[in-house]
Amino acid sequence: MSSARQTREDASRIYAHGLNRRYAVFVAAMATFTIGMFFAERRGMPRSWIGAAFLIATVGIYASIGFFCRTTNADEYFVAGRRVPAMYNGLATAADWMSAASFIGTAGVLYLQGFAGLAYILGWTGGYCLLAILLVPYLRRFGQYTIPDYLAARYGGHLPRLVGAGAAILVSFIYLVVQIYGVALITSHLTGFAFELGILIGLGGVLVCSFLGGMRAVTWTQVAQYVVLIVAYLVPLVWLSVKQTGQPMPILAYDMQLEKISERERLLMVDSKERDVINRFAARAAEAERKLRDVPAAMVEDARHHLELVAALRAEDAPLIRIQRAERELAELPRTEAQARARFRSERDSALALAQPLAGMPPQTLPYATGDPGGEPDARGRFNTARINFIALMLSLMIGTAAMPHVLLRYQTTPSVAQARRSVAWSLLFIMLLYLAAPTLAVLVKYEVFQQIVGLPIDDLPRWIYRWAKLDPSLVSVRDINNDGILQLGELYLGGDVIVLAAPEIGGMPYFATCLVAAGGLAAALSTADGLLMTISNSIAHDVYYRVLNPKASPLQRVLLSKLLVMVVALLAAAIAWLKNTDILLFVSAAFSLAGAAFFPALVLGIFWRRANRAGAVAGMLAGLGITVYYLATTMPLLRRLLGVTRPLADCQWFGVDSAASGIFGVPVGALVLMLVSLVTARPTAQQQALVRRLRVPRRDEG
Amino acid sequence: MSPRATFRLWSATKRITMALLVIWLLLNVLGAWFARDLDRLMAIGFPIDFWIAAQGMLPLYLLIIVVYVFAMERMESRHVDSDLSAGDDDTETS
Repeated sequence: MSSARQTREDASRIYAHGLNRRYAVFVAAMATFTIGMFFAERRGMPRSWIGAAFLIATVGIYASIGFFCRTTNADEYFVAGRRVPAMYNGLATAADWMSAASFIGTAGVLYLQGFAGLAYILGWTGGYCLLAILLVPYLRRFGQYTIPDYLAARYGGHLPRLVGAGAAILVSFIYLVVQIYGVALITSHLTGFAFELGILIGLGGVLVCSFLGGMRAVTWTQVAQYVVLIVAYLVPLVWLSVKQTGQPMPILAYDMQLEKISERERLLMVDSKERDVINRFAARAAEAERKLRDVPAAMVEDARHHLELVAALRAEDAPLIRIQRAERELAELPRTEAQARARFRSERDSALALAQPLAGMPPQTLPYATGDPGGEPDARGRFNTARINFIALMLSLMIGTAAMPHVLLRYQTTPSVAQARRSVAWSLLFIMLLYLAAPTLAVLVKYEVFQQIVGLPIDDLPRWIYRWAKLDPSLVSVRDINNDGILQLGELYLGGDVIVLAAPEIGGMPYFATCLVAAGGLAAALSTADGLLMTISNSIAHDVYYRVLNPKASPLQRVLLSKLLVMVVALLAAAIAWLKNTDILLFVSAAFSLAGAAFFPALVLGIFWRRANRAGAVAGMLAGLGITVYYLATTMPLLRRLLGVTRPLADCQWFGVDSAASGIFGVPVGALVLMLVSLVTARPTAQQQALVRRLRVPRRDEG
Repeated sequence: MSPRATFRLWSATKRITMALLVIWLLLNVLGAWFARDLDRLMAIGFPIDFWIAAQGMLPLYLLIIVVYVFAMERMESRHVDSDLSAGDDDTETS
């Protein structure tokens, strides 16, 4: 027995050794490639070639890893043969975990919202404590393939399995759409292709891995993707840090810059030109508000104004281009009252958002800056709402983190329970590297914008501003509203999604760095998309088809069905991403709320409370999901529009909590319903209770 | 594993789980709740609360997990060992 264990340990040591060697080669190759690109650019290689080289090289690497790991063996396909050492699983989990939202979104939200954005950082890391302590060891000891497998074994019958599979599909699909959207955004930025073409390229990159080799291929590409994404994130950060302070450790530079930013913020708040810009935006908002009060009259007035303008330009023989622009504006005026109303409303809202000090950004470091605890009752109320929202969002993301099916699935690939436990620590260590860097990057970019860009003549703005404004005006726009020819902070709009992607350009790095960052974002989005696709197709092929519909299906049939589903699901998600109706962070937080509410109570209570039974688990999952969906439907702006909810937003919200944190209601309701229904129905069967006992402590041969 | 060793190991597991969860929850909720007051209390001209939330908390999370991993590994090896050496057959304890 002990000699068998000895051989096993020897084998896994040799295996890990081989892995170390291969990835060392990979890291060296990547470094060579990046440095090679740096010199190629200096020698005058065209920009589009550099972008294409990065795209082809990285996607090519992932595809070849996927190709070499192709498999049709069920254990390899579903759980990578359960031989992934703890550290490598940590790396793969980190890549799986860090999505387009983490890579592109977090630094952006920290730039725009300051302290409030930290809820994402804390939520997406603190959740790993719950994962490590409450779930991973027990689920790994259970073994098998999926979360619905566990629900079915613990609670008995098909119903818990089907509800679990349905929830896993729903959650992963919402999250998958966001990843594909992220892939398309980055590819079109990297290559200049249209957004739609970007979707297709991203789709190809995702498919080569999960389609050919399942979890095995996904695992080993994810390890490579982690390396790419973390290097891509840290290179511009170190560059900015050295450039601004001469300090190669960003974390040290950032203390200094944080203070400078706060000081600059105080100056900008009282700057007379900034005040002027704010007043002008406020006037615009008031103008739109006036038009909204009588829409038909405003439409007539707008049409007359534009007609007069065109006539006047013609009369004075103005340059053709100005006449054409005026004519185009005339042609683009809204035709129906509903269109006009929508347009005035969006004009008012965007002007109001900009009619704030610091372009609507709260001071970087002040917690809950929208209110003031020592101020008027009104400000005190806003302070409390901000504080409640911060805590609710943080906890909701944490619980969702612990219940994300694609992450839980990753820990099934380790050789033992002890390795799974260690693997969570490794995961958090690797994830932390990026999340520690995000606030730092946000601060350094803000310093660069405050110090280098605000105050420049409008005609001398750096090129990246125009490039991005052309690519997508909703991400970057500049309006010289007070016509002084100088850029005020209030006149520059930067969307959150560009902060990371444009960081190298903002810092004045050579073009290859921009491509490197884009390749990193691509790696983040692709790796997460792969993990999600595996979860969705496994839920259908394994949980629904094999376990419920056709228990006689051979392992090969299941793998083939799963491969087919990977394809179908990926196409479906791409079709939805095509609609471009996606706010990355909003969708992501909805997915986390749903995951937490659906799975967390049923999984955790199944382990720690022996009395939990099937009726309770099903009722609890459905109630948790139901409450969360209801809250999302009534408070998430996009869903409100789609469903035509007319009740004012403030009446729909409970305690003023945002839709992003809706899991904070779903989780306790789910847990409460689970407990109440369990207590009024029969005890779980002896077999189920024996399973709980088995999960709680190690077997002697566990090793 | 004998029922008694099982029982002891599971009680110990529950204790450490509970203790770490309480620490985790207090850190999160109290830290966020008093973020603004912390700023005023420390009053050292440096945004301490932002720094704590942005950089200070993450290593603490990692620490919680590492403590759990090592505590569990030690407990499990100790219980399995004592179980093997004792080799007794206790009556049911649940």
